[in-house]
Parts: sequence; structure tokens; C-alpha cells
Amino acid sequence: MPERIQIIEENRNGIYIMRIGNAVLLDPKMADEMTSILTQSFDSGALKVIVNISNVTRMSSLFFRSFIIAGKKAKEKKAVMAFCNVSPTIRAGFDMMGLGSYFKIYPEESHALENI
Amino acid sequence: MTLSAYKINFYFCRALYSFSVAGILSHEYLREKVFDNFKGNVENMSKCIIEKKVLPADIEEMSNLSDLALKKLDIPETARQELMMALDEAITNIVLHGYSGKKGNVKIIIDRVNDCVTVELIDSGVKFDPTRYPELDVNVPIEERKAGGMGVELVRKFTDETRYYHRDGANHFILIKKTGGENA
Repeated sequence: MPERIQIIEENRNGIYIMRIGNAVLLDPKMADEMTSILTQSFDSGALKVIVNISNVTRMSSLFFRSFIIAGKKAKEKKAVMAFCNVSPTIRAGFDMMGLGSYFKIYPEESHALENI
Repeated sequence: MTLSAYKINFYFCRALYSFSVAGILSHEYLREKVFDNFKGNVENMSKCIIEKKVLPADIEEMSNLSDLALKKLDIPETARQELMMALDEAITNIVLHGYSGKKGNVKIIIDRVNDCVTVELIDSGVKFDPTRYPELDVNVPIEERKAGGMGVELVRKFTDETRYYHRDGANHFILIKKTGGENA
């Protein structure tokens, strides 16, 4: 049975960092949970959110969909959502879906913190 | 749930001439006789079959078993990761759309012959030919995109070829990936 989504959140000078602990993101319920967590953060007033997916090795389109929904919410709230530590295969997935230019994707969390 | 709860046939073989020759030989014979007799002078062939009645909560387990199989079959790292991205989409699609989230049988046959891997997914859900699904237009702005279609597109992009046929009430979706000369 899949675990729940594991996210460690940190607020660093107004920038919310969400570090995802799961290695595999495939479960539909987890995708819904991810959507909810991200959209709620923007509803709660977060203006800059960095999603660190360094632990994630596999991810399905359900989660790309989740990121798109959250991205739209961010835009609506005039906020920004970025990603960092994305594996080459998942990065390829972002690019194939045309999301590589929609979201800022940084190689490391430190780069994301400096540039978001 | 333990692995023994699954119907898993896992066997490795090396045969001198062709798959059809190897296919009729028993697991033990292949391992103990053919492998020993012909090693170093043969085509590489390996095959794994995973079958389970799945619910949405089982997608991850099916995926993990498939990944384990690809590792056991020594599929090179990059090819394995890309194939898993495609396979995960195909499994998810069957479970969520083919069976509408209800329990249904999914059989995955992973076959490696030399530098090519084929993964055949067989299900008895709603008839669906992913190869005829319209291509996703990634130039359409995100805000204007309709939901859906990303999974099939990822399958296409992460494989070299896909095939489909429907026989005896079952969907057969085949993913083909060249593994190239990359080391595992």
C-alpha cells in the first residue's frame, strides 16, 4: 500500500520550500493530496514556493497535472512556483509536456532560493 | 502482501538460435543446461511475467515489480528510467480508465532480446487503442489545455515504438524501447 505524500515544509524569509520525501509518485490519492497542499499554500498567501523533488525517481502524469493546477493557482494569486533537484528523466517529462518553460526549474535548492 | 502472493514467472535464458527454441524449454533446463553449454556464444534473451488483480492503490506495487524486473534483466539505467516513466503511465491508464478504478487483472510481459526491450500490457478493461489517441499539442498554453492526454504522450515520447491490438476481449499494448549500447 502506498504511503501518504511526505512533504517537509520550511519557510525561509517568505520563501516556502517543500521537500518531497517520496521516491515514487504514482498513487492517484497522493496526487490529489499534492494538488491540495500546493494550492492551499497559495490560498494561504505564499508568494514564492520551491518544490524540491531530489528524492523523487519516478513520477506519473497525475503529478504533472497536479503541478499544472497549482501553477494556475499561483498565477491567479500572482505568486511563483519553481522546482529544483529534478532528475534528468523527470526533467525530460517536464519538457515533453511543454512545462519546462512554464515553470522555473533550478538545478539546486540554493540556486532556486537565490533566483526565484 | 508478499511477493509470493503474485503470479510471477521470472526466468532468464540464453539460447543459441531463436526465441522460439528457448521458449519451449523449461526454466531449469535453460538455466542448468543451455546457459552452461552455450554461454559466451549466444543471443541474450530474458523474460519476466507479472500478473495481478489491481486497484488504484496497487499501481505503485505493480510499478515497483516492473522496475525490479528491468533491473534483474540488466536494462541500462537511462533506458530503464525512461521505460518506467512510460510503463507507469500505461499501468495507471489501465487501472484508472480501463477498469474505472475497480479491481481488474493486469498482466505485464517484459522481454529483452539483445538491445531491445518489449513490454506488453494485457488487460480486459474498456477497449482502448492508445496508438490512435490524438497527439498532445504542447504549444497550446497551459491555461487553455484540456485535462488528460499527457500520459499517452509520455508513453510515446519515452519509447521508440508502441503497438496495440485487441484480441479475445483483451487490450494488448506493447511498448518497445531500444536499450542501445549503454552499460548497466
